Amino acid sequence: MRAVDRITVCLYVALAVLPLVALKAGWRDHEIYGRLPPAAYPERSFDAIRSEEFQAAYTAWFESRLGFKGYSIATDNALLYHLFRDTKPGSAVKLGLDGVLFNDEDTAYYNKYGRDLPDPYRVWLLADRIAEAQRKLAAQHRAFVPVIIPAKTTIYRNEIAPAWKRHLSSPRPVDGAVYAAMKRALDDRHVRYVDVRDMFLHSQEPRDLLWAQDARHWTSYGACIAMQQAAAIYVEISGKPFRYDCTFKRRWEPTARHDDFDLWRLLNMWRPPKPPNKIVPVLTRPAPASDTRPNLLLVGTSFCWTWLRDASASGAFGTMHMDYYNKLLVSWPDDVHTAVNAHDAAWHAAFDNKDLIVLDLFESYLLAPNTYVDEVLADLAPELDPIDEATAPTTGAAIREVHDLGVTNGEHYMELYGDFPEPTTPYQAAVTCDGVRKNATVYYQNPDASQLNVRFADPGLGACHDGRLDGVQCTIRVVQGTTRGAPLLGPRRVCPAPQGQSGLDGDGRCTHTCGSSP
Amino acid sequence: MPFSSLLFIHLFLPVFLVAYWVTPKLAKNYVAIAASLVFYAWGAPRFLPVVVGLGVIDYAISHQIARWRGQRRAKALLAAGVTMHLSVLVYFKYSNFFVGELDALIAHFGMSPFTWNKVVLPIGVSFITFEEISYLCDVYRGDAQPARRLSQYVLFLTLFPHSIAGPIFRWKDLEAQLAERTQSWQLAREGFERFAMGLAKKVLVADSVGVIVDGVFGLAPAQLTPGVAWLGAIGYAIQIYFDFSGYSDMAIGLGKLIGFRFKENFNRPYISASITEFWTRWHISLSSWLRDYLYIPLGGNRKGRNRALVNLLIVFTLSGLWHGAAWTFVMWGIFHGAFVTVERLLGDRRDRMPLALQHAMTLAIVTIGWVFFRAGSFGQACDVIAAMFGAGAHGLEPMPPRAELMPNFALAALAIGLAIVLVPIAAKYRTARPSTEPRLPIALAARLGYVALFMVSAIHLTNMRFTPLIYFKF
Repeated sequence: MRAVDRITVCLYVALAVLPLVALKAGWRDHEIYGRLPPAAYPERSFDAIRSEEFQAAYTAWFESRLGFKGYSIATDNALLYHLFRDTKPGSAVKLGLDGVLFNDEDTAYYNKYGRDLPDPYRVWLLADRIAEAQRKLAAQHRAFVPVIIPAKTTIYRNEIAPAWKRHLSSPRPVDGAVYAAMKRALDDRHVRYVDVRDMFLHSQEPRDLLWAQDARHWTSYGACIAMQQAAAIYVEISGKPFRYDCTFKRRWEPTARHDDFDLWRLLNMWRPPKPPNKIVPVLTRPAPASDTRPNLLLVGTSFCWTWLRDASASGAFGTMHMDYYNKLLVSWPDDVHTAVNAHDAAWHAAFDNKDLIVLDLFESYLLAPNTYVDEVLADLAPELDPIDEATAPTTGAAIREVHDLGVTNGEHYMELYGDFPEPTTPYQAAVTCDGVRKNATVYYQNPDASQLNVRFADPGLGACHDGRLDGVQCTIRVVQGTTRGAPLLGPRRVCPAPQGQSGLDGDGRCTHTCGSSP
Repeated sequence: MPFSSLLFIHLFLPVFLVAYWVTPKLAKNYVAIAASLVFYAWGAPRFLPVVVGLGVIDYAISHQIARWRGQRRAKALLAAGVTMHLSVLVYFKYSNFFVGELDALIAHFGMSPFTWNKVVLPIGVSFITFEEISYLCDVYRGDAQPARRLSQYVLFLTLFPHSIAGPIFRWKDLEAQLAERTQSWQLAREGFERFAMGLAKKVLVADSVGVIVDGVFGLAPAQLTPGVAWLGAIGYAIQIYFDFSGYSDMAIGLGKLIGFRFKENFNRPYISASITEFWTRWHISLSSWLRDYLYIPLGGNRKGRNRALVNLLIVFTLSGLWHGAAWTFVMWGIFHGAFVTVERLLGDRRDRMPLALQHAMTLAIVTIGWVFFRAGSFGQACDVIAAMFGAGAHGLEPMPPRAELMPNFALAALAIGLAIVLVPIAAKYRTARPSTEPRLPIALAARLGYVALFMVSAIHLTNMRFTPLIYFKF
């Protein structure tokens, strides 16, 4: 037995040291989906060791790089899944019946009741603001289309395991207090919207064609038919022809990285993903002419990623942006990400020229307090309240001097000096250049009531005369509410100019010659 | 660095073992000291000089006590040493508690609270101070000789298998092993197997059942039904046993890996037929320490029955306070002390009860006691106990526990845990057959089973340390 003892001890040591050897040797591991980037090796210092920061950081470094971690995770999760029909504790993925996967936020939404349900007043207020945004944008021939996107627990309700079902009334409290309440409030205000929940629940298509069993989000096809409905509303509001086709070259790909397996990936286990039973036929159609392509802005949750990629693949849209949870602005197809900072140049680039703005009202987050929906509508509101030239007040304030600061990032900046009483109450500005209204923002009011800074979309170069740029003629009006305003300033020549320069010479003409770069 | 951590299992342990095994016999203690200091410094670097400093002072005091043994000076030295260690314990472990309670009291009279920088509790301080006190007492009583070498005493205090969470060693039990111990492949194999068993108890059973327990104790009082409350209490009884006894198993296993043979700390406590018996089977190193260095010096049962009962209550109350600086722990100690006292009063009359009833009562009392131990506050403990007996918001409504509180694997772990702790009750009353050496295939299968247990535990531990990003794809 002594030999057996030796072998056994060596086996234990080998098992203990194997992950360390794999770490040092850099042996290939099983892929882990959703892992954070490995922690950096900590800096050694006496102070760091004394304060235990080094120990904590070293442990994080070691654990994040441990060899064969992927194999261990997949094996353990597979044991939990196949032996106990469980996912690991704290996992965002919940197992439903027949292997259908759910996200824990969706099961939590499904089980909401009592004080977790929204106040009816909140529903009406949100609907009011949506209706107002839609109405005001429609006046500019732009479509603002809310889309109610269902939670997976709504679409696969019969597959929710009893463990994740709270015993509540039927229909579920959320059906009445969230979905039906929102829908009724929108209908009462004559808002045009897309109800994907209703569309999917009454669809004749196989369910997994619209929503894969292993996914938290809809399929490309499901997303596309929802976008078709939004496009129909765009046509109705804008009066422009447009057709969004769902047979473009976005297709189901049998790879683990496909969106249809997002929850499956989070399981990190040995189990093949479940492909859909039916795959949409793929046809490649020519993209429409560029002048008929509407510019698209998507506002919302991760459901918008499918829309964005598919919209891009379709070639049906002009410029495209996504406002992700009002935290991240994504410019597409260049895929440039910037933090959302309402009313800055990037925000205006995303919001200003869009013909179709789609607002994702995801059921699980709908009517939760202080969501991206509230933020976006609040940011948008001042942009949708242009000063009415006919009724704007012209007394109580005065613009005495203008300091032109030229163009920065596509926006023209000006400092206005004069009398602007009650500086704690916001002023609004209206700028009209060569008859075209520009979106203008007052971005600074000084506390001694003598200065306002405004910016507006760069009005352009103007015509060319005698080799010189003409610039454009702009009028500027500032008002404070409905009672105070300055007399209209201008028309005043505004020239293309680099940052900090007015671009005007002593004779009041633009300094730049035609063809030169300002 | 807990034993059930990836860093310990996959880095510290193999590196240490290889270094220790290849080191010549004479230098092994120094390797063990170095490793133990690194191990301790990993979790409490600021307290390391205090531990080593106290060890040096102890070493010096113990030699003086031995020199003046039987004289007043020895007693004075012992008192000074014990006071020093108790002061350290009180400062680090209880000062925040006492100041907090005092603040609450003076706030009651409208006075402003003290300015107090919270003291960080160094790991293992409760265990180390008790070991130091027992060392000085044993030397004073003549039960042990003072350490011949400082290095041996420092190793005794800091030896990593026990320095953080016990068992509480006594110098006289380890003195000989610290000087000389034998190493064999068989002992090392047994050490690994014991470590694997302890790791599995901790990682596979205790932590899994902990999911249920955390869920139950995280509920609002209005959500506690009798079923849920009992589930939480029974779950915690299993969790704490498998957690603590698992840790002790790992400590004993690690000791074997380097040639030590530590005493057992648990002996199937849930097969006890009385609370008194329970305390001879649960955390044996602590209960025997309290008996030898607190109960007996207080007079034990030598000064009459009433004084013995008071002594018991004092010992159990202080035992509760030793476990944690909170009223819930004190209450837990008083609760157990009260039942031990009642059992002492009942004497033989208790034995007239059917044996099954004695077991059931003991298990129920211990389980209820654990609620105080686990609860975040005295109020929460009362809420859970009230719910257990139908005095909660749901009364005696037989509502099944919510399924989401009970993942299948956690229920399986609870069932396995209950079987492991309760099935031996039957064996307790059977005449044990003399154990025979298992046949080779069975022995080999058992060894492979332990290896598999070690692997599964390590794999599970790795997975539990990983939290994926929810929106990683987006």
